[in-house]
Amino acid sequence: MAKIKVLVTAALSTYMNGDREIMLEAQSVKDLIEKLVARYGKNLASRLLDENGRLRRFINIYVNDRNIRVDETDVELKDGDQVLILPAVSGGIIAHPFLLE
Amino acid sequence: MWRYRELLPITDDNCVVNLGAGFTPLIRSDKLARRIGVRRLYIKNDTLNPTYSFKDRPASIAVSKAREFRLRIVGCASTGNLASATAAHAAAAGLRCVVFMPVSVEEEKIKQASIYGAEILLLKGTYDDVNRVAALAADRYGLGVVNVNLRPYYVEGSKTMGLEIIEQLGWRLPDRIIVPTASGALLSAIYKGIEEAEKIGLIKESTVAMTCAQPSGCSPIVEAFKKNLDEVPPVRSPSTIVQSLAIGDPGDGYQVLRVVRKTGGACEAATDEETLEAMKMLASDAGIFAEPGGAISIAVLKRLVDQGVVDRDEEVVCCVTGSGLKTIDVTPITQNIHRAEAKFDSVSAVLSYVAAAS
Repeated sequence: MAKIKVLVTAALSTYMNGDREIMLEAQSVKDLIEKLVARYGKNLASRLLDENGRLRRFINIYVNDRNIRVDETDVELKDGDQVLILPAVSGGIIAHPFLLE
Repeated sequence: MWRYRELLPITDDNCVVNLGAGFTPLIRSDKLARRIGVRRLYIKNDTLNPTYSFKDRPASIAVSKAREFRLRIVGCASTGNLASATAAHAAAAGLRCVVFMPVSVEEEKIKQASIYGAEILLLKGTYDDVNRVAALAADRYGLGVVNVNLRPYYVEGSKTMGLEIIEQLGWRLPDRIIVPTASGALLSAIYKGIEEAEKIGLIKESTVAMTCAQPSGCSPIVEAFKKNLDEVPPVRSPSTIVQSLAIGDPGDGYQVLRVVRKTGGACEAATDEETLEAMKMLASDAGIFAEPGGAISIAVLKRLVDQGVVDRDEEVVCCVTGSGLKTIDVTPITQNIHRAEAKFDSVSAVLSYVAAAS
């Protein structure tokens, strides 16, 4: 299985015991999300996924600088790939999942 | 814009950085209205801002908020105009500033941003690449990036454009507002201002057709609107001379779709040629020199009138968001430049032609 470096920002690291850079083994983006959720629990899950288990609209995932869309999460990961997870901060109209608490 | 202080999310007045952004003229142009074929046309002339684009509005509030948060370094990811707006407000506030831009941004905008003393990082990539790098830099170095981690405050500055249109029309709305659209923050923010004006009783109802204008070489929101999608599939490689609107993955695209559909507005794209033609019309009919990203609202209005989407009986406000002096290189060459000897005979030919035509 591919060894992947995962980078996140402060908004997510709050739900990852403060971790901002971790190494994980994963086959695909989908697999990587599942492993992150398994490691850090349901608080992180609710930030990343909606009630139907789909990636939230505000979550941007980049594999080696390429933005991966919701329908591309099966893309295979390779050894040494770097995955960046960025929750977008948007305007003030719709309640943002990070401001719901 | 600070006349709407009570509607802006600042708690400490001492932190306000005010270079005079906003309350720009709302100009009625009957000549341009006749040429395009609408009953009445107003230009919200945001070329007349401290750094010559509407971006001074969001920069003013975001940099003020950065002071309130006691941040020492601010920054932005920019397609060109936000760079100078952030750098100028940071300079006035005494904060360090780091600007991230694609290397393809117009030279005028790079030079302008640099004179305010900001560090200018020109990255080899699209705006979306720049935005990603800026977001990570904000996190790792504690930067207050106005359109990333200060974004909720940033958009509050843009809503003042909606409030001003209402006030300048005598506390009412036009039939339609056409907004040049890149990330989508401006269009959604203008509508937020309108909704707030209704909520506090400044207007009776918020009925206005919010209309989104994008360049055809980068029109992800227009495509999503026409295909009736809820999400906005990104454009990976924008290709347009309208650099200031070249955002392939618009952060507020979803909100634009929501607002445009809710208000019965429209989304339409204009080609580069149509946009350059609109630059000429705006200058020669209304006396306003805009950059392509500002004039595109006029190009899209013309298209929508020609298509019959905009009724000829409508009263329309076109937002013109940035000055033509920022994009001199793409300014269309006209046929009215004459070089001559400093002698009366040399100028007579031109003058007799002008006299005959008047």
